[in-house]
Amino acid sequence: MSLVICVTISFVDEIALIQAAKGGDLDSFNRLVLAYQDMVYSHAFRMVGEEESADDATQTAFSSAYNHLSSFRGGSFKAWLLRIVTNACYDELRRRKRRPTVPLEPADDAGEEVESARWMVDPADQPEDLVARKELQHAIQHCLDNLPEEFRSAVVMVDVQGLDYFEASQAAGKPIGTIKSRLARARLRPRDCLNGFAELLPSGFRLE
Amino acid sequence: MKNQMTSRDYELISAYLDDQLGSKERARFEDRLNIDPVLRRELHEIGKTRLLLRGMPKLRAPRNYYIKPESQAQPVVRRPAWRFAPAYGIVSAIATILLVIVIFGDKLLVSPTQVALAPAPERSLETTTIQQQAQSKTAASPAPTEEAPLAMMSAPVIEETTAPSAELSIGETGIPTPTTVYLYAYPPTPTTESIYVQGTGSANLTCEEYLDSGAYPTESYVNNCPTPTYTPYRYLESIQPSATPTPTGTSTPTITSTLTENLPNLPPASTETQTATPSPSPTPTDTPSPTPSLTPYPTETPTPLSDIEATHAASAPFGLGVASQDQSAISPTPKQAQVTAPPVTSPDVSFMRYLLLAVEISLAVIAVAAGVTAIILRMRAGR
Repeated sequence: MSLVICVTISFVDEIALIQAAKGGDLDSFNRLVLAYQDMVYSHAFRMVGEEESADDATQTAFSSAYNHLSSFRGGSFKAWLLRIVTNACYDELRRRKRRPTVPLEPADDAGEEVESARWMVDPADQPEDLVARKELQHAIQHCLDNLPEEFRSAVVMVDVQGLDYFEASQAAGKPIGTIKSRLARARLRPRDCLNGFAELLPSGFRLE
Repeated sequence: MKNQMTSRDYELISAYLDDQLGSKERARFEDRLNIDPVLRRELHEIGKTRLLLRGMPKLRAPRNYYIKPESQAQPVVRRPAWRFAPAYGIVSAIATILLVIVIFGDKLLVSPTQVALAPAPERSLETTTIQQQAQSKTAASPAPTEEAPLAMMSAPVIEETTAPSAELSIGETGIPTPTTVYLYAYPPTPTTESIYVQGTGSANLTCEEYLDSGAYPTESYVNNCPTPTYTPYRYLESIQPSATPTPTGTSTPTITSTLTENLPNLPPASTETQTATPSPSPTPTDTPSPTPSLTPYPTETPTPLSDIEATHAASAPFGLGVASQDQSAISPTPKQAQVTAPPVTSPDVSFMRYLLLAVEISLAVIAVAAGVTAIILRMRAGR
């Protein structure tokens, strides 16, 4: 397993690295990659729900960012990267729709949905709370996957990535009002979805 | 109390949780929360959902996503051709505007060209000179000379240094003749002869009335009436451009009338014969031709015009024409003061037509090519 490097850079350094990368300095761009690859991959995974697809989307996003770095006119580099990776995720989701592989809602022999599917269970022998937490994360991810793509990107940007409304509007390329509307609907639907996983929710988070 | 939640209420709840409401809006929303238990319950549940979503762990990248030098599919800098896509669009727009200007300018240039071909200053100078000569000759000539009317100023004058015809040479002897002939200087001689009007069979009109009526000339009119001197027929006025500078159409009848008055001893027929010499265009006759040539383009100007101009330039080095000529050496025929041909500086219209056509085609090709290029570049740039 390769060593994953995590780098944090200041805002001033970020601007200098971007200018250097625009001039063709590949090392400067790779430092930016190291600084943002976790965020980009996390966003991609929350968007597509699969590791392999998230990996492909992340690689495609960084390659596209490097090739179109001259189109970056300033502002939030994080929002600009999220916009690129979001578009890459849309492409990945469309490709998956054309060639479906694993159904997200497996059914048993009787034709009924299996809520706790086998792929949702961690095969490793873990303590019970850890298993419960992982199952909760799978459940939330499952609810996110059921959201329309536009709503999903809004809630992932704001709630998962922690962007404010302005950055989210920049990343989505939509007005702030649109982000507000999408975010309200995106938060409403997972609430109904998570009611089906009430036993997985902590006691204080169980919805009525 | 409202039991039904609207999408606006959920937007307010979401914005309230993210602290995105203004102070007034936030106070109003909190007032509603105090009195609306349904809104309070929805706020609580959506708040818990929001905390669950925000509690999702940040994932670590499974590997480093370095960009390797050999994996660069495209250079960082955008291809220059794409950057010039807006320039192609601008070039296409400018070419289109120029094309429209050239096309409409060509259409506007057609009618004024006939007037503009004859430079007014030269005519004025020559006319003034001729007037001066006429005044100087007044003592020797019994013929009345009048000041040229304004209409004369725009009438072209032909000067010819070639030998006069035999008739005039003969008639010249012993007769002091005027040296200046003005166009449209004298009204037509009224005639009381009645003419037979075709069609009616009974109406009798004088030549002047018939002329004023603007009707197409009938055979009886042609045979009986003299040549009108001041204007062509009315029906020609509607189609003939004004102030045509060609020496053929409008000038010929004027000369006839003037000569008749200024040279009473000369037979009119002999004077008419001489007016036809400088121009190969429709020969002016004693009777008005029902179908005179109205083509005003100088392309039909005969080659003798250049000869005339050359002679004119040689004899008048300062462009004064008749003023510098030796009047004694000039035959006292009306030719020396005849209508002047358009100057040789008039452009070759056929050449200009081809030039305009070439410019139009070039502009059209540039406009289309630049426009298509701009569209293709924008499509390839993915904009």
